[in-house]
Amino acid sequence: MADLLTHVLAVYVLLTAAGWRFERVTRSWVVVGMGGAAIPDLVKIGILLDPRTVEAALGVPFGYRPLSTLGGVALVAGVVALLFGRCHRWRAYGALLAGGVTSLLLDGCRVFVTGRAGPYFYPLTWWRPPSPNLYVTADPRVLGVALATALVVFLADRRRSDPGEGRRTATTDGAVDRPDQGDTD
Amino acid sequence: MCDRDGVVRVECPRTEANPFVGDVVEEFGLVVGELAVVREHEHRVVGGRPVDDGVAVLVELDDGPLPGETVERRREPQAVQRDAGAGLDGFVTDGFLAVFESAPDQGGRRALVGVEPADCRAVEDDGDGIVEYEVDADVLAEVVGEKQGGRDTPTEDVEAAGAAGEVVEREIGSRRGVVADDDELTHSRRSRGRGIRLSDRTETPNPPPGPPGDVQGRRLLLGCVLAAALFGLFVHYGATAESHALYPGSEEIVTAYDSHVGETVTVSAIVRTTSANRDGEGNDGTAPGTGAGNATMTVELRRFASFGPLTVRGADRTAEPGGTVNVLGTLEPDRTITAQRVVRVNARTWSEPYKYAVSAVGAALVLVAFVREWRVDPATLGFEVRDG
Repeated sequence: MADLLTHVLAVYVLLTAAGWRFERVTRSWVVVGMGGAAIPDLVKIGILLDPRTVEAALGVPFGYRPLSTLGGVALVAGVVALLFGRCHRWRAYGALLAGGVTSLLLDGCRVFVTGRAGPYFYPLTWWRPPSPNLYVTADPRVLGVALATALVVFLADRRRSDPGEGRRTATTDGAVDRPDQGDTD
Repeated sequence: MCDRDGVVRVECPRTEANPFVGDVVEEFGLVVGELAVVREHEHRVVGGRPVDDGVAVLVELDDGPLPGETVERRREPQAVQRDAGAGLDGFVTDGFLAVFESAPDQGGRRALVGVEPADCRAVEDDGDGIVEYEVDADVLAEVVGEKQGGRDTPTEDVEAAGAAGEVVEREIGSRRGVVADDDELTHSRRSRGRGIRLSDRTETPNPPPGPPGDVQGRRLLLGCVLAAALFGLFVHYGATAESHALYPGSEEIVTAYDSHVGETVTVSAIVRTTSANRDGEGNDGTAPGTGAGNATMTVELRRFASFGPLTVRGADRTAEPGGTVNVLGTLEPDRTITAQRVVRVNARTWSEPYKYAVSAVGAALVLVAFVREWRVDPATLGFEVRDG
């Protein structure tokens, strides 16, 4: 899979651009989506805790790879979304899911020796989508492209929000950014 | 409005006489945290509906003349308050306040109702918080006409405060004593003495009242269910992935080498040594193909280093010692794989540390950005948007 920074930047780019079109996608939700981009990378927990160790301990077959599939992302996003305040959970879930799916898409584009990506639709199907074989993660050019794109989007976003306070004011009308009046009571 | 928000203000334009929806149901009271505001509508007197202890309902009246009336009729606050108390008929608790704030002319067109729940968190159940600051009465309000005992008591309009812009499901409880006046608008529809269905979207039952602990308990339970499902996926995948793999992998080779000899396998392997007996400088950029390369690598299977070295022949590309290659090839009897295709996953020795370092930067970026945008609300134990 692409490195985590590339994943995060890709989601940043996509969601920030989406925020230009949809006011509900505020910076807070872009950040949540960036967190969602990390969900498929949780499969690397296997570095810390080898699945074979878990297998031996539990006596059942075990593998972390579902974390890098649609089913795993959906479940992890659900758990994480529960950590949010009640009013935010569904939207947090959506942002996390968007980030995770984006990461899966990105991962599906890298070079596979078999020409086929992983079973990303697990547990719905074991079908492995064909990969366009665009890159290997270790290629620094991948991160270079991600950084450059993110920088462009960052600058464009700042330019959009700076000239007038209009956009910022508009977003505060949304349910998300509404001040929590309960704090003052 | 979220968990701890305290005040809901509902403003209702008094222009239309037709926001009638539903019937009054006598059997149900309101649940804590739900808001039912009986508002003055079309020049009728306000009633009130208590939510529960500790809830204040503030009602502002507009005293316009009734249509068709030549004399402006003005309700005295005391009368209304008395009526509200009487009308609620035991449902009014000590915590209920019906306060009239005389607003004789809010443009002459608005009945203003403010509802102040003492603890909005009690609403917490399934995402329906009290959100709306202003709710269009024509959308949300349900006009209830009910006439009882010939008393000339006001019509009660029940206004459903919304959550996140939606009508919160609710049903209004006993309405005995809250009666309508004689205006035709009051009785224009619905069987009398029966309940109000506040909205077309209010068919589901009210959430059960309970302490916030219940909510947290359900939250925890749901989290456990999701985590258990995830664990189930881990186990299921571990049990079935092998049979769905495109080719046998390292684990199969390690556990049953001989049974896979002659098959096409895929392995991820760490390069230990590379031979120089390959043609040309195909290490970089040669087109993938089976005949292009002739390099030989001695590799160890990733995660199965204890299996010992393997030889990869016929590779069209190699990696530096310490790098990682993925190999698709035919398993030969003598711990050898004849490569059909090689992908250099980590071409350089530093490739893997590079990936982890960059990923750590990514993780740090997410954490920092998240902490800047979100905070933990100690009251709800949930993330909330950081103000300012």
